[in-house]
Amino acid sequence: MKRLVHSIWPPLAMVAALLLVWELLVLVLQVRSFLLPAPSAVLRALIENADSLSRSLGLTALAAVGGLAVAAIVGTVVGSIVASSRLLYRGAYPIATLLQMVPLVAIAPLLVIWFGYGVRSALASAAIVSVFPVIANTVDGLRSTDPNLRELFRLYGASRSITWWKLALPWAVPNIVTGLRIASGLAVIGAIVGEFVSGYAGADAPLGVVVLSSLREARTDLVFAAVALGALVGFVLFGAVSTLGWLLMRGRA
Amino acid sequence: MADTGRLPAAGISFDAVSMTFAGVRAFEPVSIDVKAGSFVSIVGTSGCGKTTLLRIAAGLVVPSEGSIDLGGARPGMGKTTLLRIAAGLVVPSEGSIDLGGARPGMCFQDPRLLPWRNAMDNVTLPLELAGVSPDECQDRGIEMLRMVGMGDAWNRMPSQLSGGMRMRLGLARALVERPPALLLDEPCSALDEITRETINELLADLWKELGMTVLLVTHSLAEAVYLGRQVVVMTGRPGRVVSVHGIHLPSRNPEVRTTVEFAQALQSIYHDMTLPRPPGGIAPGSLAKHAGGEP
Repeated sequence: MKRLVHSIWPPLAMVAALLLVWELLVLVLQVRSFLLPAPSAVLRALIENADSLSRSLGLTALAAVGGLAVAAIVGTVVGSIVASSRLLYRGAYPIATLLQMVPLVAIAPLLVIWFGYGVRSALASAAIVSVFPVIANTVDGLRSTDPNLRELFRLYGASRSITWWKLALPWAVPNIVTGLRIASGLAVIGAIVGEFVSGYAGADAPLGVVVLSSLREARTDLVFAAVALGALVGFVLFGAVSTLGWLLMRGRA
Repeated sequence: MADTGRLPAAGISFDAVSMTFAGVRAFEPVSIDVKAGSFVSIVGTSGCGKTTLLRIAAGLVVPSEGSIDLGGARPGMGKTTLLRIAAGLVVPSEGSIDLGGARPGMCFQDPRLLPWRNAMDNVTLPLELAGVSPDECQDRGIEMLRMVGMGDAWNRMPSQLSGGMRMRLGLARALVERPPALLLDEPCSALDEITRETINELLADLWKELGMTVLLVTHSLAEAVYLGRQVVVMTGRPGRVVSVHGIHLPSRNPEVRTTVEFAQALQSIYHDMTLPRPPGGIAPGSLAKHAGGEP
């Protein structure tokens, strides 16, 4: 606990200092609130709209967590298939890298056609953006399995599937966790971009729609509040993935 | 040391085994018979092929020519190799190898432990892969851990163990399947002198206790002479067996290293290792002529 406090107080102090400077600058320079609201105004907007924002937060979190879960499963399975054969690796890996270059914003409207309006499109969008780092890191991890340990499994007559399950996959865990850490941030971005094109307005508006509708009403404080909640989803996902990684890698050298 | 009973020792017979890598002959045909229950050391200069010979005995490498026979069984090849040949993935070489159900245990220079498994789970890995029930794995695992003096450390992770303790785990894992033969590939080369001596004593005790056939590859002549009842001397480029020495020491305790007999054995082996290459090497099967070797 003492170590935890010791490691988190410097960034917390830095954030507090930045917020204070921001608050003072807005106050002293008398910046108009629709251009840049003070942190206190953002906090006020958060408190005043706590009910609707918490519903929005839930919807976006559902899309991001669901998208990340799909990416984790699909990424690990696809990565394992790609890494299983040299020919597949040589054929599929460049394509996977190229697919990463496809701009998500451009294909997001297509997702509405395929998955309809609502949380499913946002979830698909989150999954698509976050799956590539999981695939790439899974492939790298599986291919880096210590050849000496592979030989050991060969000595004991282990089949390919058993070698994958008991050696290659545990060996790749640090890489897969790294991929999931990158993916956790991307999943929130993917979810919000998906919501821009597929989210419902009104009571069931997710954070992406709150951002758009608040902009139209020049409620910049609400935009910041929604962005802060989106960032919170990202932090929590990142923390959860890091904790999972710590649990899986306890005791390793 | 717990008594687990003696292992069903099997002899290892190399019949004109040779190895060629990319057109370059690694070693010339080697024919040696390692008697069941004997302890044979192989020494030689770097690159003479002694580790490759051991890997052939383990079934990890198929020889280019010749065949190897463990405990009298000599069918064709492992089923994975046969499947790969059938699939056209592997071109069959002239040599053959099959260790059938009689798989030897092997211990490497680096104990090759899985860092995410504790001591017990590392030791029982071969049993687990062979489909042995978890209860039996636990029983055999703790028995082997006690035998190598690691009974209290069953739940420690490899990262928490010293080099000597890691090597003990490697030995326990190599013996957990109760193999008919134990292959040791320079198991002590990365250890300090004191730990090396402790591991040597453990090896000597395990051999006396279990009676399995042991084939030890080492760079240390002193280790080869102290542990082996016979020492095979190889030279390199291409590798060949130049001589086989029967080792007859007055006793097998650490003090024997200061005796005249020990020094003479060392000198004789060193002399053979540094000889100019003879035209033909030694006759196939000559190792079988040497008496002794029983624990």
